[in-house]
Amino acid sequence: MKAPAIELKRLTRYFGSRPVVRDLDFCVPEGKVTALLGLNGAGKTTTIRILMGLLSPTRGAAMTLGQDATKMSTSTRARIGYLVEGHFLYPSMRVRQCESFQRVGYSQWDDSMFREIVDHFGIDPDAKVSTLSRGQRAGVSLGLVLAPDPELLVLDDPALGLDPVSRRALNETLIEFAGGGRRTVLLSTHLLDDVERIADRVAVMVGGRLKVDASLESFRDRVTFFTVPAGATSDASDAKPFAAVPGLIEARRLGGAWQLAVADADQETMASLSRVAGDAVTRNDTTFSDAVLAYLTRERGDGSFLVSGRQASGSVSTS
Amino acid sequence: MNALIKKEFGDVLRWTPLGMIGAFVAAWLIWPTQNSHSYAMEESLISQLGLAAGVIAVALGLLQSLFDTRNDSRGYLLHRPWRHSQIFWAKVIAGFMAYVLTLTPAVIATAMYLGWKGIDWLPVGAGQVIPFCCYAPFVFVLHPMVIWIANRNASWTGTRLLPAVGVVGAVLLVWAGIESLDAGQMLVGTGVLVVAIGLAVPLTLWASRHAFTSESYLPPASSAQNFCRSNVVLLAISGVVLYTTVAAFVIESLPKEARVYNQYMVALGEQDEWVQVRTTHAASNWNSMTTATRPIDGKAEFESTKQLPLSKSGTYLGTALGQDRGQWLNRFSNLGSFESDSTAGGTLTLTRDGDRILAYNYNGLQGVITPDGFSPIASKSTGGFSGKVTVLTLSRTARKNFSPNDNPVLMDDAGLYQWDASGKSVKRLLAGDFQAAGLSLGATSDASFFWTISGTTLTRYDLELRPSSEETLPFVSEIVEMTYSYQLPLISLHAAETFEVAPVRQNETVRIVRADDGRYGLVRSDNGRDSQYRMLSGDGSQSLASVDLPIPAVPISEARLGGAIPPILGFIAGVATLLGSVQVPASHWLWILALIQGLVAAVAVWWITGTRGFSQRSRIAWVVTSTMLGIGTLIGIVAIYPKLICEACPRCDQQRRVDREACEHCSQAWDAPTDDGIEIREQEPNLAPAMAEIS
Repeated sequence: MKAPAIELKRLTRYFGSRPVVRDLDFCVPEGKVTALLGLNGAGKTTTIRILMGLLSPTRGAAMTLGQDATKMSTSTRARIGYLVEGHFLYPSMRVRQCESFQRVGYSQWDDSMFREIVDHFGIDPDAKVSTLSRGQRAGVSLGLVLAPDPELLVLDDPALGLDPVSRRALNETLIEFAGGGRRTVLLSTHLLDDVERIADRVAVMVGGRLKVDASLESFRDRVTFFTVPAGATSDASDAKPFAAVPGLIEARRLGGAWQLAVADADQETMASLSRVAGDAVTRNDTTFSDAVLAYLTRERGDGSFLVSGRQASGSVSTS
Repeated sequence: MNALIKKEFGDVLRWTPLGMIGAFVAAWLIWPTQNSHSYAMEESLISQLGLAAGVIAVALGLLQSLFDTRNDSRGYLLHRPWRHSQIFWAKVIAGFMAYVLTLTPAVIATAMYLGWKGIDWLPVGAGQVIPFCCYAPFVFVLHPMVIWIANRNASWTGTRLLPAVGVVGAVLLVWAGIESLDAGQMLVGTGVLVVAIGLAVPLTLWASRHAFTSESYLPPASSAQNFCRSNVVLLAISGVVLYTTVAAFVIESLPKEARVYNQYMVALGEQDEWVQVRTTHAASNWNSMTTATRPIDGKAEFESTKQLPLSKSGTYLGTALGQDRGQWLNRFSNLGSFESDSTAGGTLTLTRDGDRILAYNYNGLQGVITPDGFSPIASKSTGGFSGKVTVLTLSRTARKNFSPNDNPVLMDDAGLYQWDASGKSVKRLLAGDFQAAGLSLGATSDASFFWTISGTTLTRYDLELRPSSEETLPFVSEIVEMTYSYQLPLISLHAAETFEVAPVRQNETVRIVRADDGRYGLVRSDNGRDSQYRMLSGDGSQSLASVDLPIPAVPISEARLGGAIPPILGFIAGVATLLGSVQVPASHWLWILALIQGLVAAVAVWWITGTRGFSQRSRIAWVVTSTMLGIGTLIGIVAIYPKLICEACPRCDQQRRVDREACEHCSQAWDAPTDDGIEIREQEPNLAPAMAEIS
């Protein structure tokens, strides 16, 4: 039995009277890449700030590498690489100065790794941070975070604003770093393709709560999509009849049909669908992105920008 | 830590030229170009360049804090294997280095300018920057104050800025303490400085460090991370200072009833008997005065009378103890301007510079005055006065102050001298250590006498004109009455008679009155209310009689301040009044209002502490504190203790705190969130969570 690298227990955080994260129970296993997904405002960054010891929980607890995050020691911090949202670096520093500033306090620092990453992103070590592109800043940030060879890597939206080439470079670096199961990565992102490429596990936060915490394969297997022709229901424009379907994540109108996403579909699901639409129900292939989007769309409760205003009742989800 | 200091210093370094320019302009504005502007350079530097220093400290604090309150910048800075307190101290040290660097050019330029001008042109010197250099490090306390404010767990529209009230108040208090010391109030000044510097600096640093290392994580209301002793003390004080200032401002802005102002004294009456005199200044015009007297025993009402003659109300003797001889802050001190027929412009301004006097006209330094004489070239002057020399205040009568416009009498620890303004010479009039001296002007020239007190001997001197004098002996003429000044001739003093008296005490006033029959009386007073008096006789056998004069009534409008000041001060004022140990007694309304304020504060604090989940012991402690410190304590409590966030408990339906695991009313734990039926959770095999289930 192995202890998790990160463990959250009933973690709750309020800002004012608004709960941003509520009763979060979540473990990040050691040696895996776990993707933390959710819409903006779902509580991902707040959760990461708490487990990095930068924000106190309102109640509940967060353990990072076996230590209470609110009392994180300097030695524990040294074992964690944390890439903050937006690839923050001091604009007045040069890349070389960033390195010499960052390395202070770390017992180990891999110069060659830092140089390799910087080279990989095509960055001049004497360049000023303020002159770097967003992708280059991401490269420097990644180099600074990886050079101390951390056990745990926490990345808060590392691909934010990156061009495709930089994104690929970032993903390659992460795959190389996390390969072999020696290191743990918690990755918060909106880029589902990247997640599918590099993550072992996926966690989806909806409205401050954790709805999904599973391996990528398991998640994909347990979400099922069905198509129901609009004419098969009593009211073609009303999604309400589907609300009774057990495990319904989302029902959305797509052209002349309803597309339903269902979690853990079973006999009861099928029976319920038959009651609403008879034999017109067909099962579709599930992609990872569609499955995630079903959860995320559920939170926002909207569809196409073109039809969202006209079809207020065109989407439904159970709650 | 050096790397972080270097980084923090590098961050603010590029802004320092802006600060340097600001500091230089602030200093340049007070560089003296005229004699009259140059005396209080030390004070001017402390106040005006000190203000610029404060702005620079605040600006540096903002530069080093505001960016790091952003989540990305803060996360990047704090997530490294350093203790967060190390990061805080690195910021403070780097800020101090930048602060010193920013102020240095302005200070050096000022010192160079003052040194370059030197005393030949104006009474200035490079050393005048030293008091500012001692004061400026304390002003830097505003830098950690800004870090404290930036990292506080409070709203900008709420109490976030409250620490500024206490810390800026402490900076002003230090300035007041320096002024008090300079004015010779050693006990008050030292006490103020010890409290302001000894408490404000460490408390601000610790509160700031606590805010940076704990409060900035926005801990919940129940967390001990919200509190440290330093921030509790400083925020409570800040709340009290804020309330007192605002309430006093409002109260002082309210319309007031016009106040009749009465002064009481002991003097000789028409029949040369001792009487109590009341001088009433009319409410509508304080220049309109009426005089009333009553017997010295106070057993009759005051009756209006005509104004007493100058001689019967008497002349105060200037006491060395009360002179400006105790001042130390400013190197140069203006002793006044005196006519001089032999000087271009006709006037010489005397400036004390340590043990010598510098004489200036509009052309610059004309010479140096010492007991050895007058030297036109400063470097060739010899000798020096004993201790600090001052121009003696002569002829300060109970009704009017007259002053000589030429030939002033100088006083030092070794004697009395007269400066011959036209002949430019100094003559020692008397040798000895005198504690008090004065000139009582009579209605005629032969009724003017000089008085001194040395130890237990009061001596009356006859005045005699020196041969070189072109003036007549002074007396109160119509011109003197009108201009308040007289021509003091060059005089010699001859002891006429002596009297045995008690030594002069600190802050004591001594007055000589003269009866119609030529006898003299002595009136002494410590606080203006109690007066001791006797007619003077040669053997000193007659002891002083004593009388308590009436207490001037304080109108209720002034007692309203009892609603503003901390009740404990009102209580102290009340007790001091009852014991009769204050010069201006407090109206009983002052402490009644203070008491009411204390009670209102206690009730309000009892209520508010109940809504914020205080323990019973804590509530009682705060109620006691608020009874003493007043309504301002409420502001402090609101600032110290975050507002509770509550939700309805599903079991008992009462509002429960969201930051506690169990309901404080029914001990119910939080219910697990209800699943929507869409949850997909699959724990990794072989995973052993370390934490037990939270209940």
